[in-house]
Amino acid sequence: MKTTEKNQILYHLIRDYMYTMGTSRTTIVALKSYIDAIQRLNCTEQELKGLVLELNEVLKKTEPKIVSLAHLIEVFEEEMKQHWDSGMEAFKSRATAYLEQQLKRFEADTKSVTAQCAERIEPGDFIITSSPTEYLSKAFILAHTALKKQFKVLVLKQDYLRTRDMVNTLENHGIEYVLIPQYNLSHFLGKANKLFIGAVSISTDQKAVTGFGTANVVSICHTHNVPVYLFIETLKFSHTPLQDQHIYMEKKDIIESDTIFHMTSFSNDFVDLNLINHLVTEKGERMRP
Amino acid sequence: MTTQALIPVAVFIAVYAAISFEWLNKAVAAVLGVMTLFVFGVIDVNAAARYIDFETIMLLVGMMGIVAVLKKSGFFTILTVRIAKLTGGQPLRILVLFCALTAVLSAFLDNVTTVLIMVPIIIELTRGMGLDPKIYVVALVMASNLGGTATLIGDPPNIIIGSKVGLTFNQFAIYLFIPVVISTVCVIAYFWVTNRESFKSIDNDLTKLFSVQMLIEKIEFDFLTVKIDRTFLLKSIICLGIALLLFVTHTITHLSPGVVALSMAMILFIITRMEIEHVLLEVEWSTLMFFAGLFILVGAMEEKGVIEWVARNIFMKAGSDPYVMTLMVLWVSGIASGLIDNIPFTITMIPIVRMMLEANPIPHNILWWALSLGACLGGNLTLIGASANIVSAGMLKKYGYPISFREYTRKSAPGTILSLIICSIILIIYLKVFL
Repeated sequence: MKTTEKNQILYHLIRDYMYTMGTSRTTIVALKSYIDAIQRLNCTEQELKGLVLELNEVLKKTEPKIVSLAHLIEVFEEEMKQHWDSGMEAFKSRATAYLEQQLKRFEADTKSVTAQCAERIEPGDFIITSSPTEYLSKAFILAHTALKKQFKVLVLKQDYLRTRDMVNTLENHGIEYVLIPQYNLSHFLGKANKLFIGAVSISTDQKAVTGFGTANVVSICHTHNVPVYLFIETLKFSHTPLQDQHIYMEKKDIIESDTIFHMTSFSNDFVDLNLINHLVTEKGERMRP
Repeated sequence: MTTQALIPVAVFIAVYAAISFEWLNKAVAAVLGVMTLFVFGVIDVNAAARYIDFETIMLLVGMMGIVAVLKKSGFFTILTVRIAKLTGGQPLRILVLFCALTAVLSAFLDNVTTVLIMVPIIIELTRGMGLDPKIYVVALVMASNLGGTATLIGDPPNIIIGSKVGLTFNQFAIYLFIPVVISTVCVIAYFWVTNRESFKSIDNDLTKLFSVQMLIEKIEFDFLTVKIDRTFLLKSIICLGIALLLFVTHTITHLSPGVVALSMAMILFIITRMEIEHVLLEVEWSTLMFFAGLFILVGAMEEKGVIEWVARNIFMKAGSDPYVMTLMVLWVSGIASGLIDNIPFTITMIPIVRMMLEANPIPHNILWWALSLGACLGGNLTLIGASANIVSAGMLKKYGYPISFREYTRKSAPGTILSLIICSIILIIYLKVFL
């Protein structure tokens, strides 16, 4: 199989994972998968460097770019330069240890972002969520069960699996919520008082790459003066502009009730940071870059 | 053959053609054939009722009910996801473990259900790794048809033969276990040997190893979306276990398999408090109508002497050598089942084989095993040989991997011929031992 074909299969898999689990969880699973793969690898010492660099290149160029993963891979590669010639077992041992260290660091960052999110939930809030991911769910649980705050969540029905997971989480923890189709948001703009979103990355030209559907929600909330909170780990701040974020474009035919629609779709939206009122990382609220 | 016999023959051929060329739905074709016989006064309603083998119908309804409840419990999904993890993404392990699990499940559940459960996961697993899912799916479906041959309840031809002839669950297991196991192993080996490149280890490819880990994680997330009710699951498994135990102890309890299956299904509905309307949606009523219609059509032909004519003028012309008789039944059934539906073929062959045995007895039901093996394994020969094959082709197309009749048959036919050769050898051994 050609390399580009193989890469496309992997990018497709990673994209599917991101759609359902979010970028942070995808980064964590990718690191764990890398650790397992290194441990299982059975090759010659001559092949080792090539195989590692090949995978690293693939992971740095996913579509869309997972900036947090790319950054962690870059530091991993830098660290492992001194160990290429140390022998297979020594390399594997060092690589595993370093990746586990990076994994712990990222998990700690994600946990901190969750805590920062929970702190920004006030009693009586009616919070809109768009394309919510795992740490947003965890933040709601933390705020409700540990911090004993009473609030309501407006869940926009978007991707089936994410919506299902958010609804299950809220129901299981007794958190009040309203589920609406995204197109009915205008009916709640006078009642909801905050919008919480996450992002895949932030580019150098002040754009946040977000889940699809988020740009419209942010736009309408901004127009109606609903404060927009963006929660993101600093590892997701990219060193490159939007056009280098590899947002994936797809043209495909959708068949519904015997009608064929020739559809063009993009894997992600992007939101101008000028529309974001509060940019919150694991270290707290920060000024726009 | 009298002119009276020509009407049921003509009707039967018309029904067969309608089914084979898919001019009509199978059940509609069969029942329409029966109505034609009523209209022409060939048989009456009382005679028709006598021809229907209610034991077979009860066994089918009962097993469909049990399987419907088991499906709802999430049992199969948990099992297949666990197997996916166990493979570690190794192509050969995927082939072997999935085929083995499919064969075992098919021995106790219907093949179409097994295929409907297993094929989506194997397609997700193989395409996510950049492998060609078609080889795996064809191997899996062949394993399903093979596994179903091993027991009384594994495949409709066996259910019909067991019920009509009075063969027990244990007899099927004892005589068919060895040929089925050996054939399954050989078919899997055949796929491996003829596609070595596709089953190379991935341990020297870091990118593939990485992909596999992510893929297995994704499969776990995607497929384990149902909330597993452990009590529900336990009740389902216990009832299935009791049903199997009662099948095995049939000679002690004298409870026929149909009575066991339907009783356990009813008990399961009660203790799980499942909505009966939902379960009844899972029962394939058209399949049952199809069976009933065929029983009547073949019964009518038997009454008018058609079957006797076919037996005397075709099959019994082969002579009285038990080896020739056995191999003829095996291979004729095997080839015919690959080209036409094995259920009407089996129902038609039963009175023929019975007459052959009356004229030239062969001990230990060897001729019935030949019919069973031929009818079940022959279903692997072509794309249209068995329902499970057609269902899997439909699923491959849905996932973007269409497979033509030629391509499917090219992949499946050699393995089928191999399995029929193995069964021939084993039947010859049986004859040598028991004659």
